[in-house]
Amino acid sequence: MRVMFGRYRTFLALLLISACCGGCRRDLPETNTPDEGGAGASGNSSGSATSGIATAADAFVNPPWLFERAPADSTKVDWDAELRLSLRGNPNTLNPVLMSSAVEERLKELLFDYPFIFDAKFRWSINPAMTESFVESGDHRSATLVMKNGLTWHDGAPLTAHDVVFSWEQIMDEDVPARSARGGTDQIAKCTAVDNQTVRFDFAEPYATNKWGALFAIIPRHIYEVGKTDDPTLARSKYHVTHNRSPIGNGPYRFVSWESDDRIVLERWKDYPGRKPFFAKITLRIIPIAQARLLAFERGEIDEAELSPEQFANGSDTTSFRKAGVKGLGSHWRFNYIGLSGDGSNPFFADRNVRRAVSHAVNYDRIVSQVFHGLARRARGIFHPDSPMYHDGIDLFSFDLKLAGKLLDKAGWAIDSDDGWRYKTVEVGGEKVRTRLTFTVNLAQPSTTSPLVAAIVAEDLKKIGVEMKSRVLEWATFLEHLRNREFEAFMSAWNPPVDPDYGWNVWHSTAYESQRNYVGYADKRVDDLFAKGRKCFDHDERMGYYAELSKIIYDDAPYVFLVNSPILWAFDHRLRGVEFSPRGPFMFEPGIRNWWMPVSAR
Amino acid sequence: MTARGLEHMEIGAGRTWRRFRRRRGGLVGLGVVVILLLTAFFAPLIAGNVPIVCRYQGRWSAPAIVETFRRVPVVGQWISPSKPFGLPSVDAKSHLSQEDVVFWPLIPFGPTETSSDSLRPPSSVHWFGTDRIGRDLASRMVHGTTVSMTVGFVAMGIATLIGLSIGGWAGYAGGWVDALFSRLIEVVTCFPVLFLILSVTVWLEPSIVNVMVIIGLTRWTSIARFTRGEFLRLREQEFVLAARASGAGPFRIAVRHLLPNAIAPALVTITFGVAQAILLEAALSWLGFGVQQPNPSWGNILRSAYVQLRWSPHMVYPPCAAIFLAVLAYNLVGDALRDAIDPRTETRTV
Repeated sequence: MRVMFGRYRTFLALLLISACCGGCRRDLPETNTPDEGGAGASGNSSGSATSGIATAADAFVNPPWLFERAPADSTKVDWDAELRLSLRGNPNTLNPVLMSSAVEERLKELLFDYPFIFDAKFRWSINPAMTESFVESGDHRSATLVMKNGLTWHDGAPLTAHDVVFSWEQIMDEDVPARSARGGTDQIAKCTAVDNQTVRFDFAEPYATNKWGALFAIIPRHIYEVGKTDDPTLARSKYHVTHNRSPIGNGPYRFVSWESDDRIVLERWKDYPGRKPFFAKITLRIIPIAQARLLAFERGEIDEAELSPEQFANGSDTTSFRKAGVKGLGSHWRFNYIGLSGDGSNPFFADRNVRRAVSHAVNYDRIVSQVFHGLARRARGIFHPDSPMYHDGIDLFSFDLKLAGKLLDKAGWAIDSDDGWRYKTVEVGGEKVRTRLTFTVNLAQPSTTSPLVAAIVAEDLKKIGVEMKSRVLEWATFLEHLRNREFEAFMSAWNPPVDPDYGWNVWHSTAYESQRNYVGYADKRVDDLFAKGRKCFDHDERMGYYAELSKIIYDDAPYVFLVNSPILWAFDHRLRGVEFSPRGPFMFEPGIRNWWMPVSAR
Repeated sequence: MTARGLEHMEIGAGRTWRRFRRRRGGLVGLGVVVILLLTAFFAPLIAGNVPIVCRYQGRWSAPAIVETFRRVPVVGQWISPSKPFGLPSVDAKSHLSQEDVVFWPLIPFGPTETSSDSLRPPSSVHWFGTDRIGRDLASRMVHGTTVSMTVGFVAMGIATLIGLSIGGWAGYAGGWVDALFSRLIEVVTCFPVLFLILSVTVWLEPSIVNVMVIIGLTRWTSIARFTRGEFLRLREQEFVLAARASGAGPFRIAVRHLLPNAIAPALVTITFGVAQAILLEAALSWLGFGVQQPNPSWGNILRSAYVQLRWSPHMVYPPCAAIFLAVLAYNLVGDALRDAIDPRTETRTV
């Protein structure tokens, strides 16, 4: 026996070492995902931001000082402080016209300024640092923007109306891959520079959303015009790649360096025309893995980190975390859902009764309590209950397996007494085929919550004779399946739009072919209400249209509306001035620009 | 000749077994493998929320036993589930009362059965504790064994079939056939299996069947190399010449005379291959591309556990231990088998 263990000693030692290393590794798997809690931003401070969410009475959650604005006495602000942020991945580009991901948006708000802004409540306004005035014509078909005099880019070149017009032309240029920036901006039919400071916008239609369309990214003409002839895409030539990696902006911070997979460094732009930026330097650490971000936060290497629900509930309850900082909890308007393809490509979900049956077969309370640790709240349709578009009369689907079974019976899906599954004879290619009610739900690979949600739903569906399988796909492949409409069901999440009209490209019947109406939802009443909302300039009346269509959509159940996942964040003890919008702590004005550190915390 | 060839093989097998028995590590490994195989086959009788035997409304039934045999490939599809508790939509626990006679499995929880008992530590009720959505880890481990063993054996079954065919053909034919197959072996050896499987899952549904097929289609090269070497060595032996002289065709010579004598070295490779296949499946499921939730496998249990590592470490130990044990057991068996087959180790006592 001794000899035997002698012979296998090396092997055993290697296995044990590898097992131990597995347990000790810092680069744990990614937990934050497109459909997981955390990535948005919203609300304001502790009070209303957490309404409806179960919170522990914990001094480490939303302490009042975290939301303190910078004092009037500037000597109390640490102007030499460095802010260390975390990024979930490498940006593809730092050219705001080409940006399309949340990671890139984080850089955009630091490097670039625009004539218009929106605040934590998604209220549109002009940017006082850049804009003198913005006047819409009485018929809402045109508007005139007058920019401030003396504006410059980070390199000292003047920023004029010609830069605005050039940027609009690039966004609308089909050769430029600016799909994300084009949404809304395409409402502008013509953009012209009246003089160096004045821009005239001519809109295609007199829509209430036109002012949002004018909120587009601006890039320096003197930089990008040079390489446009050689590379019309602004993305491929060496010249453009270099400039897209080291951008010339006009925001409060200027670009210093970018080490791929490691960090991006920015510094305060001394000539910024707005309020002096609070930090001398901002370092954005690229840490793709959620557990690694948490560990980096605990080690004091970063000043903020997005948390997953389990990290917020359990992982942050440690001495090292409490030594490093506190937790921020806010109400997120994003909703997680299961999309059911009702475009007729499968024999199940074109039938409203089947979709409603699935919605009745989901144990929402269990999902909230077990998967989201009680931190989320049940989703009530496409709009959050705190939003002005919410419809009070929405009657939530109850978790009722008997009712779900009856709806399936009504739809013709009957239980086979031989095997317990539901079948129906459906017509496929002109032939009648006895089909079993079994479908696959696509899940995006990095998510840790969606497999658990899928497991809970599958177990309950099984009880009514429906089989739901799940299929994990890498994120890019997941998206490709959505765009090609190659799925039966999928699990994902939508971030809240700044204007409800953006729901057009998800719910309008015309958005099926080329936009994001992946499930093929089509309802004439909803189409009409979207059209009315777009043309209505009375705020309350307009919100009424969206509320009405949200109720129709909820009742039709093209999605199983699961939860509104919360904003879960970790903040360093020294940070002040944090604010939440319905999307999280970033991507609104002033947002991160209001963060500061007191001298006393140095 | 055929009879004598087989007789030689039987004598060889007997000798190999006698020498194998002298290697205690191999015996321990074989014992573990047998236990794992029995666990895999009888999983519904060990863990599940379906009774092994019960009397309900005056009728006796054995739903878990029926379910065990329904899982047997090919044969299973002809067996109907036991009614009512073998049906997916019938919850036995809510139907059966204390007045009914029921024999539950040792672990009376289904592998996908959720409950409100989240993240419970090990206890007398839940031996290995529960996961985040209240599923019993012990039950999932038992049913995960079926996945691991099935992947190991089916994948290596496919690999063996391909490896023996190509290796045997190359070795027996020689010449350009040998050169061609040898290059093919070299090419396939270079395939990074894990990445190949990840690529394939883009087009094919990530299922256990696809995983087994891909592993099988890529792990045959070492079997082919050993078989080719043995065929090259044996094809000029007298018994082969005698068979050829007596009019036996190439196929008959290869299958009836050469293969029985050449299979021993390949067996060792196959044994190690099963361990590698188990590891591969665990790695794939850990990444989320192998066995899909809610179905259990050691890999996806480990993945769930890994996310909770800091605050619920109890979930990590069972899948780690099971993977470790299974891989170690197959390696011990393979090592002992290699020693038993190799005549140069005749004098060794351990």
